[in-house]
Amino acid sequence: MLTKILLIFFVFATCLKGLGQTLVLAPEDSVQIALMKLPDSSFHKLVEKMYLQFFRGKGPGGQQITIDIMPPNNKLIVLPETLKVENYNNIIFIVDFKGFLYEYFHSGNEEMLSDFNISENEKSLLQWLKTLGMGTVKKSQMVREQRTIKNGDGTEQIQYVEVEKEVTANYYDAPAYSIISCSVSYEPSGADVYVVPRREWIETFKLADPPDEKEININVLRKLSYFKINKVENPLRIELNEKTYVVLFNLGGKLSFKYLLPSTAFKERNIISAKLK
Amino acid sequence: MNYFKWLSGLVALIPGLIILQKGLALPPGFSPLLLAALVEISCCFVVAIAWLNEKSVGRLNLTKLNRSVLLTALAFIVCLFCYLILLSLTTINSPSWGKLMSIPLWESGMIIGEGGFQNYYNKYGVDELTYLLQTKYKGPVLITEVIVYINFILIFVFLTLTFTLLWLRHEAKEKKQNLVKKV
Repeated sequence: MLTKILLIFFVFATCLKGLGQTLVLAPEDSVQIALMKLPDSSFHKLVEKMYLQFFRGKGPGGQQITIDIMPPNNKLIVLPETLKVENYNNIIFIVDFKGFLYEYFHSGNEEMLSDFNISENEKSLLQWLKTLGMGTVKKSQMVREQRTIKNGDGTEQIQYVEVEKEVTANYYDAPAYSIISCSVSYEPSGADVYVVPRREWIETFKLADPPDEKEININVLRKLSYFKINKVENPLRIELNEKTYVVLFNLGGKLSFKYLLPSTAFKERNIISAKLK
Repeated sequence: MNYFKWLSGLVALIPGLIILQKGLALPPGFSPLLLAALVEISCCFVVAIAWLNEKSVGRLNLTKLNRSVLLTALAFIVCLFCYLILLSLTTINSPSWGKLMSIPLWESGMIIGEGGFQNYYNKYGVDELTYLLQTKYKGPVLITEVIVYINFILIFVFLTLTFTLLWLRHEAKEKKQNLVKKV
């Protein structure tokens, strides 16, 4: 009897273990929502919250200051004069993607934030983070480095130096949405390209579907500026979700429209080309 | 040798393992791990109850057991059909996107226009439908998932119960025959 009860208990315990792993709920995923609003992959439009955390000392006696640095007009921000950055041994730059993205500079006595200029390397890193369900944490960290110093008598000496380095880490769960690389080529070059999700085209902007040239005026273009691609390359390479987009080309008033349906199943659809009349 | 005893044990264990490995006709987006665990727990519970009461089966009425076996077998078939219907009602595909998507059993909270979810999916795509369901249809999606989960579990619970009752019936019959021999 005891063996039977123990065996049953074992089976139940095994099952409950499997169940327990599954019942962990995912956090409220604001990155997913942010990604939905981002057709052009320009991270400038994504950040909602930004703050810097300064750390001094370790353990219970350590001090921590968090500064909200949400900018008023997306312009340069200078940190408060009362804050002596050099007194803090660790500075973390945290950005919540949804609105804007900034970069922290530490140069001489001046500390400031400026518009984030994504380099090609960072772009691929951010893209990778994005596929993981990105949240980006920029962190200044003291790293121990080995250096070889030559003495006067020609012998070499190894020294260990603490160097401050900026590292980028990610957080958040993987998003459910697809991220598909698309290519949009157009002739002649130099046109403004707007990539608007079809649902927003119809429901938010109340525009005709299929698109009608007559409806598009300067006011409509201003409203659509959120979806304007901030790139001049041709063909244009963008990362999109698996949904229908209306691609609007505008070259000095000459308009052209195309539907773009990025798909993981039908990859040939991820490349489109347009000729402006 | 009572083969039904081993069969009921196998029926209680094997479907859960297949779900874990292959998904076994689960709607898209459903967790095989969660469902496999629930199926295993429920089926093992049925077998465990029978196992612990194995010695007292001699007192069971054979006619009642026969009726129960038939009823549970019927319940298994009904659950299976219900599940197939649920699967077709809660799963949609689109030739434009080529992906199976799970939808709730009913529309509420937001008018999504003519053609319902199918038209919405065809027109706007995979991620728009996912976004819609995750934001505007959380309640219906959750209730639909619970219904589908329960229905799916019941299929295997009734199947296990059928074999468990057959095992108990066999045991009861043997005990009665032994009793008659002794007398």
